[in-house]
Amino acid sequence: MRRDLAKSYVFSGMLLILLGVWIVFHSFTWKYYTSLGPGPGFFPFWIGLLIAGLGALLCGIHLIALKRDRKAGLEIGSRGSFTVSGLRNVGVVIGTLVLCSLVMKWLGFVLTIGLFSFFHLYIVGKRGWIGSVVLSLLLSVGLFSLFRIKLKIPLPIGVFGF
Amino acid sequence: MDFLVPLFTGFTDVLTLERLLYCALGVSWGMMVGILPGLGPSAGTALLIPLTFGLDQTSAIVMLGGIFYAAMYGGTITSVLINVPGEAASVVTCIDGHEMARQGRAGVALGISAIGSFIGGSFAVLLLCIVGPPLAVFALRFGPPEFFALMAMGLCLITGLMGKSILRSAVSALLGFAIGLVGVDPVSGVARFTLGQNEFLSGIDFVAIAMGVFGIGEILSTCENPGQVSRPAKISNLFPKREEWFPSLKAIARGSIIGAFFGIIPGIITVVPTFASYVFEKKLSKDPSRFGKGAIEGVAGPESANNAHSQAAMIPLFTLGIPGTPAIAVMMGALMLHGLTPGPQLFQQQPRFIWAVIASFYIGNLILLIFNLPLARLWAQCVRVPREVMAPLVMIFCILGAFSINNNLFDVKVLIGAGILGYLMKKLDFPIAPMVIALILGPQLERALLQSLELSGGTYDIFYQRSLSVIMLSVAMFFLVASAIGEIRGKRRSLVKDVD
Repeated sequence: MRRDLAKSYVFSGMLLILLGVWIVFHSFTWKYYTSLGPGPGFFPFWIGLLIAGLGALLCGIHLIALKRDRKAGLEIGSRGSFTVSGLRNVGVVIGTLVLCSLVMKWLGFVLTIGLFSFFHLYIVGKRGWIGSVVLSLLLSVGLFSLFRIKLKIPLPIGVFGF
Repeated sequence: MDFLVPLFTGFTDVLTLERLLYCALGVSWGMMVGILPGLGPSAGTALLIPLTFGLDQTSAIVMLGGIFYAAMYGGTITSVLINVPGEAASVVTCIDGHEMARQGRAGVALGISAIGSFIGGSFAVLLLCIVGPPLAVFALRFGPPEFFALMAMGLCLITGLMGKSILRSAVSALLGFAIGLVGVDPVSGVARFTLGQNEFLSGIDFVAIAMGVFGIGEILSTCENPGQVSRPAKISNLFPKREEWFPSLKAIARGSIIGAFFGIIPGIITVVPTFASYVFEKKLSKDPSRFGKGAIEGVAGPESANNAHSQAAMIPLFTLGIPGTPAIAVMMGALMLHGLTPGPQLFQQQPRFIWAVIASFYIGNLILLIFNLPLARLWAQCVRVPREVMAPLVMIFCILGAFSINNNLFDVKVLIGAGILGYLMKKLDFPIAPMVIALILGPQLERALLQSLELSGGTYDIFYQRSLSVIMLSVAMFFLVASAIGEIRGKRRSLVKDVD
């Protein structure tokens, strides 16, 4: 049992219960059983029920462990291996990825990926700006050429025409 | 020896300049990805799937095969040179491989790894030739109840054997099932969990999920604590001393058998046979104290087991349609993307294709050996790629790959969501493999169950009336119950801890 992650597991267990209940609730929208056998609601019902059940088990096991540790006066792991700086770094990466997916339709592949790689090389990675510019250009233009010309995959072209 | 004629035909299909080039490209790219620490063969194969778009089926799978086993080998290079395992199975190689590098014998460690991988991989491919066709014929007797039982058994084995906690493994598998529910019901055609999005009608694409959880998830994990990459050890001579050849070859032979044996069983990840081989070599050795101090058998055996396992895992994939490991699940997703459904019908309906792919495995193993022996120093330079350059490169490839599936930015959003899920699962120690495999098998499992119940008129007796189904379901239950009891008694944890 990962005691250092006990609180995280209680939280995850609750999320799983919510997910399971949501799936079960939606499964009632479809027929559970038809004249030919199980209907479209059959599998989701049982999957949802199992997810909720195992979520409750996960939650329960770690709540009991936390209670026992508290009684014994043991130090309880709070965030486990999550740290503020780590979460910040993760947040930056997720943020840039989301931004990429939102703007690519308008800016186009070359510009979006060029800016994305420059940001990660120069700002996050603290590489020199000339190297970052060169590598960003090579990546964006090179990959665009490879995928669009060689593999014939129509990558997004933005309002600027590339 | 019935396989010789079709295998020869397979060789004639593969031995064209174009297909040899694709195989070589696949091996090169697989090596590069495998060398980058943390990515592993699952992520590496998933990332490079888009590069096969636009190729014919055989060329695409030849390239993917090259990517797959080269990515398995690439992890060895970082293990030996900088003591960082490229993927889980390469952990064992760090023990004696890096020690050999510290003694100025990095080249020998890499050389014997390459030779062992070639022999192990070739042995596994030979096993595929011998065992594959009769197993595929046997599996043709399977009806929906047997397929349901087989997939349930595969999933229970994977859930029971992977991860440190069966509860978390089970949750992971159920999450995979839940994701697989999105889309159109396989029998009635009713749209489920589409949330009003037309893009969800065809389901959530497996490749986007695989790239997300393995690729983006890994990048998110490593970006938390950016570290320094050590300077790689220098490489000089590539071959062992004369007196080391015989013990090395014996270790390679034993490792190949161990790896191939475990590869046939779904759910046994590569870490298990590599550790088993290491422990076996140590126990057999006249002087076990050499192990941990640069014993060549400690590298030769596990590396052969590693490659033999990864290629023997193709046997349940091609003959039964069961992916036994996450990397094989990614291969299965790629095969399906190219319009092929792995399973017993494949040997009957597309024998020429299957034998061409098997022949390509032999050739790929040979190309891998050729690339690794003279080009070892070149690959060593790839280890120096800084993490801050590698991370955006991997992310861009993931974005490209996700977009290329349906030429739709929606799949990029799925990729990011899967990446966040993969990151959280890693942080919370939920094994990813059961989720990925359940995602692939879930819809097929549901279809088989519904077809079985339609055949039986709605009763579950059909599963008890057919002997194969009963055997497989009993094995599935046994594994789940044994794993649960083992976990309660703490034995499972200590076994996995040893493996870790």
